Amino acid sequence: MVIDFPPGLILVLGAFILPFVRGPLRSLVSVLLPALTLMAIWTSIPEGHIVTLPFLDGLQLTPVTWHPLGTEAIGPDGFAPPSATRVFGTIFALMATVGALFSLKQEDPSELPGAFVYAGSAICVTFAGDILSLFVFWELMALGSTVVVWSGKFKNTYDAGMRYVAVHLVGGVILMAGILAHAMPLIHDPSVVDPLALHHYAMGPLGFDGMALTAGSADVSGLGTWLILIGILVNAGAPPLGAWLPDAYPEASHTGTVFLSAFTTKTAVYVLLILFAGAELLIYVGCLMAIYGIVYAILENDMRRILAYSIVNQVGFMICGIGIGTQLALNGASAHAFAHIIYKALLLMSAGSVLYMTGKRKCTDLGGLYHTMPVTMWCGIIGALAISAFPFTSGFTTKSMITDAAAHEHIAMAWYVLMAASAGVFLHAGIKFPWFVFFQKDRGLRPKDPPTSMQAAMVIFAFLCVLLGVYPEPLYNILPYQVPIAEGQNLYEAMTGAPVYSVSHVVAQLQLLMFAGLAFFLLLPMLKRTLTITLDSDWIYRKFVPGLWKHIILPPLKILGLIYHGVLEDMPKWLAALVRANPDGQSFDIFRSWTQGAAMVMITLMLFVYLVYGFVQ
Amino acid sequence: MSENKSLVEKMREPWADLLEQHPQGVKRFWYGGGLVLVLLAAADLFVHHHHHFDHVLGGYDGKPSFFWVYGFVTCVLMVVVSKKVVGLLLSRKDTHYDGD
Repeated sequence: MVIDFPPGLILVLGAFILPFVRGPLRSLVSVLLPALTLMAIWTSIPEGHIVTLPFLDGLQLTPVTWHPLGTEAIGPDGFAPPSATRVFGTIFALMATVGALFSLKQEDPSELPGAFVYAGSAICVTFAGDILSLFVFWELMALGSTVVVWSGKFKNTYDAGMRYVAVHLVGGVILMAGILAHAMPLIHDPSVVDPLALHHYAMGPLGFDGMALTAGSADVSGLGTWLILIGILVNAGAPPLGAWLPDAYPEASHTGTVFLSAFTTKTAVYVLLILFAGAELLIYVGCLMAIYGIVYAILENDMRRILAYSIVNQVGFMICGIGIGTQLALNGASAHAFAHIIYKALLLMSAGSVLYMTGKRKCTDLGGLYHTMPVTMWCGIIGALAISAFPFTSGFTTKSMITDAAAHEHIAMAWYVLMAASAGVFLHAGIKFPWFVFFQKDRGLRPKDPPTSMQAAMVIFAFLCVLLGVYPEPLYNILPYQVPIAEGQNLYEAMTGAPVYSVSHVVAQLQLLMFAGLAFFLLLPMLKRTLTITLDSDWIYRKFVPGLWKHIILPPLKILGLIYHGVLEDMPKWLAALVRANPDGQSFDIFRSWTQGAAMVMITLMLFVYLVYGFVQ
Repeated sequence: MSENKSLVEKMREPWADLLEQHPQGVKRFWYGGGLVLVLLAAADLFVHHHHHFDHVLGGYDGKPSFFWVYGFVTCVLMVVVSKKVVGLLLSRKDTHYDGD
């Protein structure tokens, strides 16, 4: 069956069935809906299938296409447009399926519907071939994810959700402004065919002319491009625009954070990959994110905030790859996003299970859980090894493509930073998370492993982490760029010239990681957990601006208010009271009580003043 | 000597519970880990790494010992910068934002 609507809509609309079903039927529907979506992506949309809709006056929308940028080379360099729809659509649907399995025990009635709207719109974004459909589903994601954040039950959840939705709506407005600034000249230019089509908005392959914001330039689209980029980087979690991520994610429920970790930042990666591939600026943004995530994660005490910072670190690798912009780098960014969603969800499922069974989230309250939570521990460790890109895990077969691309392009800065960040990942997530949660200090906690459905979800993703590590070919085969592959090779070898499991590659990676591990255990006394948080850029809108308002702006306004109310507003009342005929003879009736004689004196005085005035004139 | 002793004590502190419950396991972990590290470092005598950059760190990236030295040094640097610089400047009690 061929469908003529974006497959993500199955999830978005299906979400509204969930409130009407109960018990085992709800569980069945919860897992079947995303599984059906995944099936639709693979079987119901043939290669080359395009759905267009007329829109307003002579415009058109393209809600379904496998090639969002078309299939013809664009830009002066003949850039072959990436088609990352299959790899991103597949992982989003897979994530929604296993995530739903993990959250079958979740009792909050609104979280899973919110998560389905969120995941479904993310899938719709990957199928959008025009900028407007992309934007609409982008915003729908913000709404769905806010419902997910608010399903948490912590004391800070509501406020964090408010900040989360505010940041995302502001980001959405910036993105929309950029889109309009870019689209208007296109729409008014009669020579432009299909002005909403995404390829008009792809900046990277055009040598980034659009980014030139030179002084005195009358080029409006330059500003539009910057606004679009900023709007996307807000969702990508790039500092200083990304403080919402470690702020909001740990405040969601034990299942909610699993969903949140997957879609927002990776949809931003997808859109950057489509629109800004090869933008040099992104190399620096990515490197910054990779290091920032590590430095903040090392300081963090909340186990899920450690993992939230490591999302920023991992997305940094992908964004760096997008900035490098070669076919190998873009394949690497896509593959890494695929692997990352699985192992990050696995880590957060492990942390979520700990939270669910113990009610505790701080490393200073946890430890010693290896005694009674073996499944949770082993799944957490497999996720930790995968995020660290240990050989025979998914991180190794995907992240290497990005670092190899940096080496092939001789971008030394990026290569050295990514290598240091790879070592740092093992330090801050790979060892730190399992060590402080499952080992180190025995707090006497003896919780069991979580319910079967939650264990099953973890085991499936742990299995996939290893499977993609030893048998990455199915993933390689759906990456955006396919090249001719010789007998006995895979895509990795065909593109880099060396197999992913060469002796030197494996040894180099093990050396890097194991000595990072040594550094961790030698510095362990220094890494003692403390009851602290680390200020991030959200300090600006949580402390600085409110403080500015309370202590600097509000006091003079209060004085002005006193003047306004006391003088401007009340003065006419007093004056009126002075002269008004007052029937009950109370208050200000001075003029009424005056005698005729006094009135005569007053009038004479006024006449005298008038006379003097006339004389002087 | 007293300073050395306190360093050993500091090193043992995070392991206190594990040392009590599984002293053999901890021993195996450290000896086994140490052996793996030595073998990995020694592997550079036999394994040739690719070299990419001539003008950075004197072209060190393809030479023997690069990966393990680089992994160790950068991690120590990141921990020290994180704990001693960023942490000193930006750490607050985790109740910092409460009551806003």
